[in-house]
Amino acid sequence: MEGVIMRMSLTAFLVLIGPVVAVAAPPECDRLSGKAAETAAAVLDSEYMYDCCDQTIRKCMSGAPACVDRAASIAAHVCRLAAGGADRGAIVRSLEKRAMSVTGRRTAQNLAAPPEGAVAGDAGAPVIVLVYTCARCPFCSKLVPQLRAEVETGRLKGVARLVMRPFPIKSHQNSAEANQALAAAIMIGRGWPFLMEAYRRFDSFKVGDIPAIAAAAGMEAAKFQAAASSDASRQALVDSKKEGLRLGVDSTPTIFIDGRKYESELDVETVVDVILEVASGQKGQAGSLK
Amino acid sequence: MTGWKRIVRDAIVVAAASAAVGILFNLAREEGIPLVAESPYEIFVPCPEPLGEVDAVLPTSGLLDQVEIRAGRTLVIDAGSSSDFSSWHLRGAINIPFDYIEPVADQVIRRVASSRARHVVVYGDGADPDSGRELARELAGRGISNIAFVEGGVQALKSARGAE
Repeated sequence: MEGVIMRMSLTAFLVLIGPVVAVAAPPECDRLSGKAAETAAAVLDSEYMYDCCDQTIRKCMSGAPACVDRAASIAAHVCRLAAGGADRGAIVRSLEKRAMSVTGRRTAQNLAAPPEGAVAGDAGAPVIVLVYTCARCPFCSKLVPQLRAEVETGRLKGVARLVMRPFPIKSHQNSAEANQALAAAIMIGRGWPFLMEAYRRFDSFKVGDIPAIAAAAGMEAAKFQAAASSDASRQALVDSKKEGLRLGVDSTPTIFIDGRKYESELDVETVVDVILEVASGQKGQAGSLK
Repeated sequence: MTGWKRIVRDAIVVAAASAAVGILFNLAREEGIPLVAESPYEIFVPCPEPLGEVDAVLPTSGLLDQVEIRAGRTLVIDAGSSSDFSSWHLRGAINIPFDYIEPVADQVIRRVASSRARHVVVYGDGADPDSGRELARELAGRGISNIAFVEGGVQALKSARGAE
C-alpha cells in the first residue's frame, strides 16, 4: 500500500512540475560580468522568443519543456554577442536575423539533387545545409572546414547533411581554375576531399598545385585531368553559379538551412546553434532538395 | 650644419620621437598590439562578388533610340555570345560576351569607360539569371556609372524594336 501511495505521489509531482522545467543559464551567460552581463540580462528580460514560446527569452527558459532548450540556445547567442562587446541594439538586430534564418521564407527548395561528391554527413540526417563556397575565398577556407567537421564527427553528426555548391567569386585570383577543378572533383565523387585539401594549402595556392591537390584528395591523375578540362565540369560550374544567383547569393560563404537563407553571424558556433534549432523544430517538414 | 642636413636631422628626430610615443602608448595598453604577429593573419569578412547597383529599363526606353546611339549619348552592349551577336543585335551595339566564371577583361572596361556615353544600356538573354543584368552589375561594380539593363533581354528588344 505504501508503495502505491509513493508511486501516485511521484506521478502527481511529475504531472504538476513536469511542464515547468527550468534549465540553468547557459555557460556563455555564467561567464559574463559587468556591463556585458547587464546588457545580456536586459535583452533576455525584454526580448520575446520569435517562435515556440510567447514569453521573453528568460521566461521561456523556465517554460514549456519543448521550448526550454531553444530558449537556452538563444540565450547563449545573446551572451556570446554581449561578451564580444555588442550593445543592446546590435544584439536585437542579430536576433532578428536569426529569426529570419529559422522562420523566414524558404527560397532554396526543390533544387536538383546534389552529386554524391558534394555531400558531407550522414545520409539520413534530416536537415539539409547548402553552402555556396568559392575555392579561393579566404573566409570560406576557415568556416567551411569547421562546418564539415561538425557534420562528420561533431555536434551535427546525424543532424545535418552539408551540400557544397561552388560559387566562383570573380575578384579572387585563380578563382576560375580552382573552382573548375572543384567541379571536376565533385563529378568524380571527391569534391569534399579536394576542397579541404585546397583550403589546407590556401595561402600557398598556385594553379600549378591543382594536380597535387587532386592526388592528395585521392583522384587518379588522368581521370581528374580529363574531368577538369571537360566542357561538362565547366557547365556544372556555370550551372552552380546560376543557381546561386537565382537564390540571391552575392558573397561566399552563403548558407541555406532547410531551404532558408542563413542571415545570422558567420561563426561556427552560431551556425551550428541555428542548425540545431532548426532540427529541433523540423518535425518532418519537407527538405530543400528533391 | 647646412640647411638640408638640419631638415634631415629634424625629420629623423620627429620620426623617432613619434615611433617611441606610439610604442610606449601601445605597451601601456592592457591589450596592446604585439610588435611581432603571434598567429597567422586571418580575414574575418565574407567575400562579396564585386557588383554594383543597376537600373532596369524597358525595351521601348528612349535611351535605346537610334538618335541617342548614333550621337554617342547611349552605349548599347550586347551580352550574348559572338555567334548570337552576329545573328542579331541592335544597330550600334557592341558585343561583350558575358561569362559567369571569368571577369570582364580590364581593357574592355577601359573601352567602355572611354566611350564618353552618358548612359550604358546592356541587354542579355533575358533568362533567370539574365546575362544582361549580370554584366551590367559587374560593369557597375568595376566603376562604370549610369548603367542599366533591358528587362526581358534580347527577345523583348527584338519584339519591341524589330530590325533596328
